[in-house]
Amino acid sequence: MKKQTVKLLALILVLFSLTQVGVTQNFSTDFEDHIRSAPTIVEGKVVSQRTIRNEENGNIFTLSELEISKNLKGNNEATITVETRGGKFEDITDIVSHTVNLSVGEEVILLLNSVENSSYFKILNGKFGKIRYISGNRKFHAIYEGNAETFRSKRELIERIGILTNNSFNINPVATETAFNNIIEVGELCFAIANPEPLFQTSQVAFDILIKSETAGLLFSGSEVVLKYPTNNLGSNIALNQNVEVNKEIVSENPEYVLTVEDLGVGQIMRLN
Amino acid sequence: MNISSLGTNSDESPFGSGLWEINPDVTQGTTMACYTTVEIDYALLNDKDLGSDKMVGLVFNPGNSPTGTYRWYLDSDIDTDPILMEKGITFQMVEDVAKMVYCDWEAATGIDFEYMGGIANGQVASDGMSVIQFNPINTLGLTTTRFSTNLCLDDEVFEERFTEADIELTTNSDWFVSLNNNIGAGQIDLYSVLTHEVGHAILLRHSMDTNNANGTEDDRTMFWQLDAEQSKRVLDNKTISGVQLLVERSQAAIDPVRCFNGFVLATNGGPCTTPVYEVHQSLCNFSLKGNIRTNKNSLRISVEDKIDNLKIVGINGSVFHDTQDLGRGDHEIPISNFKNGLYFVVVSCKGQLYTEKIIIQ
Repeated sequence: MKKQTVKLLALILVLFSLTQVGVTQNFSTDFEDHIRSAPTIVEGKVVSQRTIRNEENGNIFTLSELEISKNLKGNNEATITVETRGGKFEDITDIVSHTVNLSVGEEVILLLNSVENSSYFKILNGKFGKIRYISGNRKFHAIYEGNAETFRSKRELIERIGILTNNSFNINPVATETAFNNIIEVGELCFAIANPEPLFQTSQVAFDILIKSETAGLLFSGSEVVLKYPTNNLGSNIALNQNVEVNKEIVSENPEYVLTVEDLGVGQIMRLN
Repeated sequence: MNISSLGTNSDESPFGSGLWEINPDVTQGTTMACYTTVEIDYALLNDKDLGSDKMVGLVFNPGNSPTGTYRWYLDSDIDTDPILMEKGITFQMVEDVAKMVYCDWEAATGIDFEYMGGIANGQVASDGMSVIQFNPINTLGLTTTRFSTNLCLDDEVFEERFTEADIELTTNSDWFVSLNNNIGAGQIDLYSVLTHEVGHAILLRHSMDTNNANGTEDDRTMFWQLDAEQSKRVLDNKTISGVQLLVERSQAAIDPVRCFNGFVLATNGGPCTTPVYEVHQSLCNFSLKGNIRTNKNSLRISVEDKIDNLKIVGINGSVFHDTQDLGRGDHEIPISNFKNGLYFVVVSCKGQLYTEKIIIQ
């Protein structure tokens, strides 16, 4: 399998970071059936929540405002309300087993149905209606909670949903490609810091940020690389203070790819876009 | 530090039991190469939404349960539900299984469950009663566990208190409703599902460390999935130890200076008030049914054909009961003077021997 690589050259005193993702999984019949039968599928982020209590039977419901980033099936407003069972109302908390929980800030794909006589949506079939994005896991980036199926990348998941819903969510292949040998393990998309070189005359360190995909033809259109550095010798806000220099070395020909650097938080974090 | 589940159903924040990975250095989702795994035996409910890691206590308001027993009810509408009627599921059948399930939990954890009988109109979330009910839900079963919050902010262990837990079972499943274990093809064992749901009703969370995808399945009671034809009736020791810890801590908090002053929790209330087993043996056309109570310790055997000999034998071979020629009908065998423990019922009929293990507790 041919590998697509992107190589960045970064100059900074201290930089390190490595992300590994992997594991492939066959798509199950359950997943496909649910994707095909769901009236509405959206990708979005939970931006707020509130709870209500049914006065008739005492049940507590949580209403989550979902900011939609992509309509995968059906057309919905930019923000919708999703109703789930359970939650905390005044001094009472209901925990409902085997149902879907949402939390503020969570990024998800939801399979939805309308709530009768309401503008709200409800999640289909409990855990069979939620695909959750994961960060910080070494093996996968998304989980279908219905059958615990995992997806090694958002791209893989979105493209699969596109196939099942007769939509084209595919990412276009690159026009050119470059392969290189590296010790990076297999994965949908891997980052590595390599080739550190101290530059004593200028008190700098140069190193490469290598980005590799095992998927042939995959277009690299952008990514975040978050780096942590010591402030005792670099100071803070190294992007603002121009203590970091970042250059493309070997990149794809995708014109949308733009290299930017910015400070995050209190000056100990830098992000490359 | 980052801690993440190696399983995939990790939507059980803060933790469910199972295999978890501890990663010593994480920066915005970037994972370093060194990590280790830990096994978490069980997971009990707490209230993460309050930002608290304190536990939910299992004690009762004496106004609802004067003696501190865990009272549970069964929806009496089971016998009039058209879907269940069509499936041949009766109130009596469900009651027999439910009693056995609570008996298992009682024997294992010491919690004194008290069956309060059938109740009309099913569950109401705010009535303080824990009810089992059938509904057309999309999962096999689910449990709504309710607790009062912000009770005792100064207590070092507890901040919330259990108030009720309603169990819903789906009407949409091909249920196997029996005390015997001959689950048919494609059927879901109600005994196993109810065992799991009662676990939720006594504040257990899911275990989730393995899943079907990798070919293995967590054998713990609180694993989140159950397959058709799967029997999972035996409580695992790790889960039991979690409930026992909860019981110990809850009782310790029934103290004038602790969180649950004035509340009650009964434990070790004696032998189960329900049949401990029922066995049907088609070869010799007889059935055994234990009916073990504090005031009625008996073993009933229902015989269709003649049985030549029935013995009750201890594990060391001692014969505690020996009866010849049991004819058609029901026979009560007194076992009130038996010590608690394991015994074997050995039946001889039509030239064959049949042995059944029983536990008197």
